[in-house]
Amino acid sequence: MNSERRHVVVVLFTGGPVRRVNRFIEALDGRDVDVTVLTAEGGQAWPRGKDLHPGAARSISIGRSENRQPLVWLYRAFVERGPGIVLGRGAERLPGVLGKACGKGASLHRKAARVVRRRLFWPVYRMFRGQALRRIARRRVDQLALERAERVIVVDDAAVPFGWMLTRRHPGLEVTRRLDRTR
Amino acid sequence: MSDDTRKAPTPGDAPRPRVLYLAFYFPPSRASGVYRARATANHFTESGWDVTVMRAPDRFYDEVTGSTDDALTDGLHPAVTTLPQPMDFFAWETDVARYGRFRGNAPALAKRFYDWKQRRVFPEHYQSWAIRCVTEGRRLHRRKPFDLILATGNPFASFAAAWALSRLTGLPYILDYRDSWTLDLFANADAFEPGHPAWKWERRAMRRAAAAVFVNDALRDWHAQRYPGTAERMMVVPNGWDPDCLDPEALDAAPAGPLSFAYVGTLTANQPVHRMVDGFRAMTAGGDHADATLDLYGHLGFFAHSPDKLRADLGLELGEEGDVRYRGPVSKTAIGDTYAASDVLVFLAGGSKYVTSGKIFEYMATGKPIVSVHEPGSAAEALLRDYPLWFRPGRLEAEDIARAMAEAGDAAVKADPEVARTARDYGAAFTRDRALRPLEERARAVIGGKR
Repeated sequence: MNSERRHVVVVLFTGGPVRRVNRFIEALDGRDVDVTVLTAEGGQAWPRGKDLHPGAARSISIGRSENRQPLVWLYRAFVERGPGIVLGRGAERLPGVLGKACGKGASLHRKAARVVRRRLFWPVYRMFRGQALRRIARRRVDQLALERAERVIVVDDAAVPFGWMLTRRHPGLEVTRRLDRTR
Repeated sequence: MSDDTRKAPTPGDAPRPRVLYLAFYFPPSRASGVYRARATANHFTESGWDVTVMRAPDRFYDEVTGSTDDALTDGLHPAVTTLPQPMDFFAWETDVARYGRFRGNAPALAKRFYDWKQRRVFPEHYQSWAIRCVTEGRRLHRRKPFDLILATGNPFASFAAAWALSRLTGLPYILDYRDSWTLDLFANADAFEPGHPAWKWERRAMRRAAAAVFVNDALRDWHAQRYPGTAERMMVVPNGWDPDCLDPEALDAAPAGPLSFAYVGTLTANQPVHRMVDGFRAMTAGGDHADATLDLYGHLGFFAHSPDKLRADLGLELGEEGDVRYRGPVSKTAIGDTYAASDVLVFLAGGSKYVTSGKIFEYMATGKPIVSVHEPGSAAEALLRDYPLWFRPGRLEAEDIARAMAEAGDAAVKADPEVARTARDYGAAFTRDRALRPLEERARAVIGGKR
């Protein structure tokens, strides 16, 4: 990466605005601007198929670290993945009625897990997610080359605690919510 | 908070009635409703009132709307006291360093709390401004009592503030509907779904109002039908033109060189801009006034980030060259030069029968040919009907607009001084002062001869 080039850091912890960020990256591509994107790709709010612009930006993901947090790991292990694996294997391996019952149970579990995630896990976790990700992202600050960055763009609400922390630690750094393509 | 105090009362003067004017958009803002608010403050001051205006903070004008014009402040009566009230910039804040500890650490909770306030307190982003107006208004009233509250919307948080202040102090208030609140002027339909808090707030504010003022009959009738209990307290105060900004006598009627068709005003996506451009190009392509230009003066949109979006929405290459030229914003003080350089004025308006557009009064004052480019049935038609140099297309299609523009161009070339004089005399009747007189009289009646 050439140190003469301008540098912008984009922080994005949910998959929703990926298309908007990709348009931004495309607009800056070819204008001598390096873009580093800190994402939570593969984490709790990043649906499959939401891919960042390949090649045009340097991407650093904390998604896997998010999934390894104790509460998230326990929730996924004991509510989503664990019962799903047990019931799925039962359906495959057990003969006759028991196997069918496991298959039915696996199907019911998938539906129930979706409801629990939407109604219970997500409303609670969303309130704390920003803080959880802030702690994880703090460990990756060195990789963001903030000393070269002309601005940090905080795209979604979940990234705000991390952005706010940066404003306190780097008072001269511009941390904004605007994906301004004209600059 | 700055206090732009101007004139000390002269000893021996009779006590002046005091009005608290809640006008979010006020000079130096150059938002479209500012001219009416400025003229109202000036008119009341000149009519013997002591006027205190509560407006938005400068930061809102500088950073959110990004549209100020210091010339408008210069035209303000020196005795008007202007008090900018602080407000919460939650909805507009993009600088994360300016977030408070709560929002910086718990953005989801902060957003939920903000949304809750929108639902339960008042459904506008400007509610914090209104709350400040209430607390500050009450404080000022205790120190030196007001006689009347006058509130202008939008934003309609000013109406809620007037209502709350009235509840707290017993003061009467007048609502000035510069715009409509619950009626979508452009879609000609309800602006909110049933059960939305705006309905409750409008009903509440309307019920207690000493008077409600509208800019045209169509709007008054719509509100009278919806709020029959207040119908008899409703009145129409149309907009008008400002003689301190425009001297019609200084405008030369005879065109020199190729004709300039001009639109003067803010361009928005609600206006039929494409139809206007297509009609103009159809006219020149057809050989009528082939070397004419279409000059667009004014801002692109009302907000700081509007121009790029509007350019994209319109899909127009707006530059300073070519047959259609974007000439940029014009200060109110230089508006006379703009009209002098224009030969035909294009009245471009979006919306329905409820839309008058304040610009039409200025247009008529110039005595120049006016071409309408808007859907038939606009409220402005009632005013233009008796204007001798009005040209309107039968339909909003390029060939009809082209024909009307060509006829207007012919009239400009002919430049009949008699017709221009008649047109100018007709337009002269619509000054702001004249329009505001009944409002001031009503205000005096409301305070019941106090002072």
